[in-house]
Amino acid sequence: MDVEVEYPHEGAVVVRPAGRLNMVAAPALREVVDRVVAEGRTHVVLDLGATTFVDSSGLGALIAGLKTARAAGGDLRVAAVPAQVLAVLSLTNLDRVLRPYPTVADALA
Amino acid sequence: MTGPLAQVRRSGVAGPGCLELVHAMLAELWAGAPDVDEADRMMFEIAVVEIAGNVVEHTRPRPVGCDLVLSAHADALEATFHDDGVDADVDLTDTSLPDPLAETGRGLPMARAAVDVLEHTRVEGANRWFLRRVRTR
Repeated sequence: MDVEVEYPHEGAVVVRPAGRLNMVAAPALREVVDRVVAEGRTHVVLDLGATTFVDSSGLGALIAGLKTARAAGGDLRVAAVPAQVLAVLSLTNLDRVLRPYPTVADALA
Repeated sequence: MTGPLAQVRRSGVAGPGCLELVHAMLAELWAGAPDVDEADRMMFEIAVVEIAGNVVEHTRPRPVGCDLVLSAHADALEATFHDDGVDADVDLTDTSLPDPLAETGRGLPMARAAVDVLEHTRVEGANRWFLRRVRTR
Protein backbone atom coordinates (compact mmCIF):
# COMPACT_ATOMS: atom_id res chain seq x y z
CA MET A 1 0.00 0.00 0.00
CA ASP A 2 1.25 3.47 -0.90
CA VAL A 3 0.39 6.47 1.29
CA GLU A 4 0.52 9.92 -0.32
CA VAL A 5 0.43 13.06 1.79
CA GLU A 6 -0.63 16.54 0.70
CA TYR A 7 -0.68 19.78 2.70
CA PRO A 8 -3.59 21.91 1.42
CA HIS A 9 -3.30 24.64 4.05
CA GLU A 10 -1.88 25.46 7.48
CA GLY A 11 -2.78 22.85 10.07
CA ALA A 12 -4.43 20.48 7.59
CA VAL A 13 -3.27 17.38 5.80
CA VAL A 14 -4.77 15.05 3.23
CA VAL A 15 -3.57 11.45 3.50
CA ARG A 16 -4.24 9.08 0.59
CA PRO A 17 -3.76 5.37 1.33
CA ALA A 18 -3.95 3.50 -1.98
CA GLY A 19 -4.70 -0.21 -2.24
CA ARG A 20 -5.71 -2.57 0.54
CA LEU A 21 -5.66 -1.31 4.10
CA ASN A 22 -5.18 -4.53 6.05
CA MET A 23 -2.99 -5.96 8.81
CA VAL A 24 0.04 -5.61 6.54
CA ALA A 25 -0.58 -1.99 5.58
CA ALA A 26 -2.25 -0.59 8.71
CA PRO A 27 0.99 0.13 10.63
CA ALA A 28 2.24 2.37 7.79
CA LEU A 29 -0.93 4.48 7.89
CA ARG A 30 -0.69 4.78 11.66
CA GLU A 31 2.90 6.01 11.36
CA VAL A 32 1.96 8.63 8.77
CA VAL A 33 -0.91 9.99 10.86
CA ASP A 34 1.24 10.02 14.01
CA ARG A 35 3.96 11.94 12.14
CA VAL A 36 1.76 14.60 10.54
CA VAL A 37 -0.14 15.24 13.78
CA ALA A 38 3.17 15.52 15.68
CA GLU A 39 4.15 18.17 13.08
CA GLY A 40 1.10 20.18 14.10
CA ARG A 41 -1.26 19.23 11.29
CA THR A 42 -4.20 18.10 13.36
CA HIS A 43 -6.97 18.47 10.80
CA VAL A 44 -6.47 15.14 9.05
CA VAL A 45 -8.50 14.13 6.01
CA LEU A 46 -8.18 10.57 4.82
CA ASP A 47 -8.96 10.45 1.10
CA LEU A 48 -10.07 6.84 0.65
CA GLY A 49 -10.87 7.19 -3.04
CA ALA A 50 -8.06 4.81 -3.98
CA THR A 51 -8.47 2.45 -1.02
CA THR A 52 -9.75 -0.79 -2.48
CA PHE A 53 -10.38 -2.81 0.69
CA VAL A 54 -10.39 -2.24 4.44
CA ASP A 55 -10.41 -5.01 7.03
CA SER A 56 -10.68 -4.85 10.82
CA SER A 57 -6.97 -4.01 11.15
CA GLY A 58 -7.51 -1.11 8.77
CA LEU A 59 -10.46 0.07 10.83
CA GLY A 60 -8.20 -0.09 13.88
CA ALA A 61 -5.75 2.23 12.11
CA LEU A 62 -8.57 4.68 11.29
CA ILE A 63 -9.69 4.74 14.93
CA ALA A 64 -6.09 5.11 16.15
CA GLY A 65 -5.68 8.08 13.80
CA LEU A 66 -8.93 9.61 14.98
CA LYS A 67 -7.82 9.37 18.60
CA THR A 68 -4.37 10.79 17.80
CA ALA A 69 -5.87 13.78 15.96
CA ARG A 70 -8.45 14.46 18.66
CA ALA A 71 -5.87 14.19 21.43
CA ALA A 72 -3.96 16.98 19.66
CA GLY A 73 -7.08 19.13 19.49
CA GLY A 74 -7.94 18.27 15.89
CA ASP A 75 -10.05 15.75 14.04
CA LEU A 76 -9.78 12.99 11.46
CA ARG A 77 -12.34 12.78 8.68
CA VAL A 78 -12.82 10.21 5.94
CA ALA A 79 -13.73 11.31 2.41
CA ALA A 80 -14.51 9.76 -0.99
CA VAL A 81 -15.30 6.50 0.75
CA PRO A 82 -15.78 3.52 -1.62
CA ALA A 83 -18.65 1.04 -1.26
CA GLN A 84 -16.60 -1.67 0.46
CA VAL A 85 -15.32 0.75 3.08
CA LEU A 86 -18.83 2.13 3.64
CA ALA A 87 -19.94 -1.47 4.16
CA VAL A 88 -17.36 -2.21 6.88
CA LEU A 89 -18.05 1.13 8.58
CA SER A 90 -21.74 0.27 8.59
CA LEU A 91 -21.25 -3.34 9.76
CA THR A 92 -19.28 -2.07 12.75
CA ASN A 93 -21.42 1.06 13.43
CA LEU A 94 -18.29 3.14 12.94
CA ASP A 95 -20.10 5.32 10.40
CA ARG A 96 -21.42 7.11 13.51
CA VAL A 97 -17.89 7.87 14.71
CA LEU A 98 -16.25 8.37 11.31
CA ARG A 99 -18.97 10.11 9.35
CA PRO A 100 -18.11 9.80 5.65
CA TYR A 101 -17.70 13.05 3.71
CA PRO A 102 -18.54 12.98 -0.01
CA THR A 103 -15.38 14.76 -1.12
CA VAL A 104 -12.01 15.86 0.22
CA ALA A 105 -13.12 19.48 -0.16
CA ASP A 106 -16.15 18.83 2.05
CA ALA A 107 -13.95 17.20 4.68
CA LEU A 108 -11.49 20.11 4.62
CA ALA A 109 -14.24 22.70 5.06
CA MET B 1 -27.44 -32.62 -5.92
CA THR B 2 -25.35 -30.57 -8.29
CA GLY B 3 -21.80 -29.47 -7.57
CA PRO B 4 -20.57 -25.90 -7.16
CA LEU B 5 -20.67 -23.46 -10.07
CA ALA B 6 -17.07 -22.60 -9.29
CA GLN B 7 -14.52 -23.74 -6.75
CA VAL B 8 -11.01 -22.59 -5.84
CA ARG B 9 -8.66 -24.38 -3.46
CA ARG B 10 -5.17 -23.59 -2.17
CA SER B 11 -2.98 -25.05 0.57
CA GLY B 12 0.20 -23.67 2.06
CA VAL B 13 1.95 -22.09 5.00
CA ALA B 14 -0.05 -19.21 6.45
CA GLY B 15 1.51 -15.75 6.74
CA PRO B 16 0.62 -12.09 6.17
CA GLY B 17 1.27 -12.52 2.45
CA CYS B 18 -1.60 -15.00 2.32
CA LEU B 19 -4.12 -12.18 2.47
CA GLU B 20 -3.21 -11.14 -1.08
CA LEU B 21 -3.54 -14.77 -2.12
CA VAL B 22 -7.03 -14.94 -0.60
CA HIS B 23 -8.07 -11.85 -2.58
CA ALA B 24 -6.66 -13.48 -5.72
CA MET B 25 -8.57 -16.69 -4.95
CA LEU B 26 -11.79 -14.70 -4.59
CA ALA B 27 -11.15 -12.96 -7.93
CA GLU B 28 -10.69 -16.39 -9.48
CA LEU B 29 -13.95 -17.56 -7.90
CA TRP B 30 -15.89 -14.59 -9.30
CA ALA B 31 -14.37 -15.18 -12.72
CA GLY B 32 -15.82 -18.68 -12.58
CA ALA B 33 -19.19 -17.52 -11.28
CA PRO B 34 -19.74 -14.12 -12.91
CA ASP B 35 -23.43 -13.84 -12.03
CA VAL B 36 -22.82 -13.53 -8.26
CA ASP B 37 -24.32 -10.27 -7.02
CA GLU B 38 -21.84 -7.49 -6.20
CA ALA B 39 -23.12 -7.06 -2.62
CA ASP B 40 -22.83 -10.81 -2.00
CA ARG B 41 -19.24 -10.75 -3.28
CA MET B 42 -18.37 -7.82 -1.05
CA MET B 43 -19.85 -9.28 2.14
CA PHE B 44 -18.38 -12.73 1.51
CA GLU B 45 -14.95 -11.21 0.85
CA ILE B 46 -15.12 -9.16 4.07
CA ALA B 47 -15.87 -12.31 6.10
CA VAL B 48 -13.34 -14.58 4.36
CA VAL B 49 -10.52 -12.04 4.72
CA GLU B 50 -11.29 -11.56 8.43
CA ILE B 51 -11.06 -15.29 9.08
CA ALA B 52 -7.87 -15.48 7.01
CA GLY B 53 -6.50 -12.69 9.20
CA ASN B 54 -7.44 -14.65 12.31
CA VAL B 55 -5.57 -17.69 10.99
CA VAL B 56 -2.52 -15.54 10.22
CA GLU B 57 -2.59 -14.02 13.72
CA HIS B 58 -2.22 -17.51 15.16
CA THR B 59 0.91 -18.39 13.17
CA ARG B 60 3.14 -18.03 16.20
CA PRO B 61 5.03 -19.70 17.82
CA ARG B 62 5.37 -22.06 14.87
CA PRO B 63 4.45 -22.07 11.16
CA VAL B 64 0.86 -22.98 10.45
CA GLY B 65 -0.35 -24.97 7.48
CA CYS B 66 -3.65 -23.83 6.04
CA ASP B 67 -6.06 -25.14 3.43
CA LEU B 68 -8.82 -22.94 2.00
CA VAL B 69 -11.68 -23.98 -0.26
CA LEU B 70 -13.97 -21.33 -1.75
CA SER B 71 -17.15 -22.41 -3.52
CA ALA B 72 -19.89 -20.57 -5.39
CA HIS B 73 -23.15 -22.51 -5.51
CA ALA B 74 -26.42 -21.56 -7.16
CA ASP B 75 -27.88 -20.54 -3.80
CA ALA B 76 -24.90 -19.76 -1.57
CA LEU B 77 -21.21 -18.92 -1.25
CA GLU B 78 -19.10 -21.09 1.04
CA ALA B 79 -15.59 -21.05 2.47
CA THR B 80 -13.87 -23.72 4.53
CA PHE B 81 -10.53 -23.17 6.25
CA HIS B 82 -8.49 -25.91 7.91
CA ASP B 83 -5.35 -24.92 9.79
CA ASP B 84 -3.09 -26.77 12.20
CA GLY B 85 -2.31 -23.73 14.36
CA VAL B 86 -3.06 -23.33 18.05
CA ASP B 87 -6.71 -23.41 19.08
CA ALA B 88 -8.26 -20.16 17.85
CA ASP B 89 -10.28 -20.30 21.09
CA VAL B 90 -13.11 -18.05 19.93
CA ASP B 91 -16.59 -17.57 21.34
CA LEU B 92 -18.89 -17.13 18.38
CA THR B 93 -21.92 -16.93 20.65
CA ASP B 94 -20.72 -13.46 21.67
CA THR B 95 -19.77 -11.39 18.64
CA SER B 96 -20.81 -8.04 20.07
CA LEU B 97 -18.93 -5.00 18.84
CA PRO B 98 -16.28 -3.42 21.06
CA ASP B 99 -16.31 0.19 22.26
CA PRO B 100 -16.46 2.58 19.26
CA LEU B 101 -12.96 3.87 20.02
CA ALA B 102 -11.42 0.42 20.51
CA GLU B 103 -8.69 -0.35 17.98
CA THR B 104 -9.18 -4.13 17.95
CA GLY B 105 -11.93 -6.69 18.40
CA ARG B 106 -14.02 -6.06 15.28
CA GLY B 107 -12.86 -8.93 13.08
CA LEU B 108 -15.19 -11.68 14.21
CA PRO B 109 -18.22 -9.40 14.67
CA MET B 110 -17.70 -8.14 11.11
CA ALA B 111 -17.33 -11.65 9.73
CA ARG B 112 -20.38 -12.82 11.66
CA ALA B 113 -22.47 -9.94 10.36
CA ALA B 114 -21.39 -10.43 6.74
CA VAL B 115 -22.40 -14.09 6.37
CA ASP B 116 -25.33 -16.28 7.41
CA VAL B 117 -23.26 -19.05 8.95
CA LEU B 118 -19.92 -18.72 10.76
CA GLU B 119 -18.68 -21.81 12.57
CA HIS B 120 -15.42 -22.72 14.26
CA THR B 121 -14.64 -26.23 15.42
CA ARG B 122 -11.48 -27.79 16.78
CA VAL B 123 -10.98 -31.24 15.30
CA GLU B 124 -7.95 -33.46 15.89
CA GLY B 125 -5.56 -30.60 16.56
CA ALA B 126 -6.82 -28.43 13.73
CA ASN B 127 -9.08 -25.40 13.45
CA ARG B 128 -11.95 -25.68 11.01
CA TRP B 129 -13.79 -22.54 9.97
CA PHE B 130 -16.92 -22.71 7.84
CA LEU B 131 -18.62 -19.68 6.32
CA ARG B 132 -21.78 -19.59 4.26
CA ARG B 133 -23.59 -16.65 2.75
CA VAL B 134 -26.97 -17.24 1.13
CA ARG B 135 -27.05 -15.46 -2.22
CA THR B 136 -29.59 -12.69 -2.53
CA ARG B 137 -30.44 -13.77 -6.08
